[in-house]
Amino acid sequence: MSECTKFQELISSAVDNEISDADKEALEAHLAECEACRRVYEAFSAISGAAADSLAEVPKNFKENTMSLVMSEASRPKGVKRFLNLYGRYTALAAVLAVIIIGGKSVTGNMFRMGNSAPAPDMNTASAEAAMDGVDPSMLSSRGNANSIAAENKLVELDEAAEAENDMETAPAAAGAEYDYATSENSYKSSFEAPSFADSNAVKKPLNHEELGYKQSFCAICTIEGVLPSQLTELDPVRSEDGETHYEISVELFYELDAEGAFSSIFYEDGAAETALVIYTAEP
Amino acid sequence: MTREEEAEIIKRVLSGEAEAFEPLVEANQTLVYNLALKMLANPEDAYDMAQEAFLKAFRSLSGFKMQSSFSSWLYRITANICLDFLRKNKRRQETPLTVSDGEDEERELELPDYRYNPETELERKELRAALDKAVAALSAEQRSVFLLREINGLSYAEISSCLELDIGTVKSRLFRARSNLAKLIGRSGNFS
Repeated sequence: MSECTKFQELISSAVDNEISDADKEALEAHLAECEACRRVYEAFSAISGAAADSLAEVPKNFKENTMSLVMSEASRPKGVKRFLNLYGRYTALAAVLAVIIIGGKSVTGNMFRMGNSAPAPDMNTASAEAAMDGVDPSMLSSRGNANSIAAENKLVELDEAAEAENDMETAPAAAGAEYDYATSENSYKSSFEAPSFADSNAVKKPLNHEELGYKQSFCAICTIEGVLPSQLTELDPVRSEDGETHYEISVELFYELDAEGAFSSIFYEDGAAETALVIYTAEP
Repeated sequence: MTREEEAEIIKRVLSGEAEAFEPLVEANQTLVYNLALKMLANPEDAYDMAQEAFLKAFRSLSGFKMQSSFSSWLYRITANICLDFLRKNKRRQETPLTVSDGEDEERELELPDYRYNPETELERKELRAALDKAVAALSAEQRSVFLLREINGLSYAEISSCLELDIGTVKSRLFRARSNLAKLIGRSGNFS
């Protein structure tokens, strides 16, 4: 890092008055001699000044609308589960989701249509939901018609997300086709199989070079069971006893064998070491 | 509003006087709205998110520990709501001129000899407009740190707590934000 870079970071802190006296002194001394950094100081100060100077006015009805929502929130009975969040355009989306969750598949088929032809959500449904929830439906939006556009955009987004999720299944690739979630749902569920954790061959305890009686450490200690890879058949083992054969291999060969999936377990030891140890047993 | 006044209002709201929340809205609406506006560069979204910030503060008021001022707690809520919004709505955002974040760059900033200190009202207006545009081009991470500092006047320690960053990160993001802004404003040719 050059001197100027170091000082320029200090300039940013100096503009905010978040700089120690010692640093301030050093910076002032540097600025006296460095025009480039003086320009930076000038720029950062001007930006700071302009930012503070550029506050927009709050829209006139903001406080009243916010307090209406607060009062409405306050009068809602506590503990009632709410689907609807009382803010602007996203209320429609929440209402739509509530309808989908409650309405089930017959609604799903219509709602998730690819492309932009999704119909605007039925605001009567949203109003009915709101009324059920003890909320004045007129509270749903203080923003006018923006809701339906936003909800439509959201439907397209949801649609695309759902499409990605079901990508590996029978989702049709052609754009514009109607995707029937009703039939794909079951096939998606049945393809998932929980992994089996009953792996009796797994070596549970990590191995280390000392335990095995070696003076030097290895980058990794790996086990191979069953078939000896061809790369090792020509190598002289370093040890052979109790049904185990040990090979010392280079890091490159270790990566090669790992890429082939030759190892049944790997214990990483010393990243700086230049050899790996392979413990081969003919049968598990 | 003093801390005592804030505490009194909060006590009343928590004991059931929801209408007592109004002075807190009044006192904070400008900076909350402006933070949201400059984070999102869209007045409608800013309106909605600013409103949501107040609602969220109202709902979780019993969780406010009074360790910071109510305002900085509220700005934290606002910043996080806006950051979440930006993450979820990347597609809807207009992506203006992108600034390469250059997190790895350690070269010093070299600025041409622009007159960054405007002298006339027109120049000041031009600088503000150029700055607004440039702020919108920053990454969300740099923008949030810059705005909390310049609009909301938070200290580095407060920003660090708001955004759950360490102070070193706050400092370096602020520096990068300012460097990028200076480059963008210079590039826009307002001062050539």
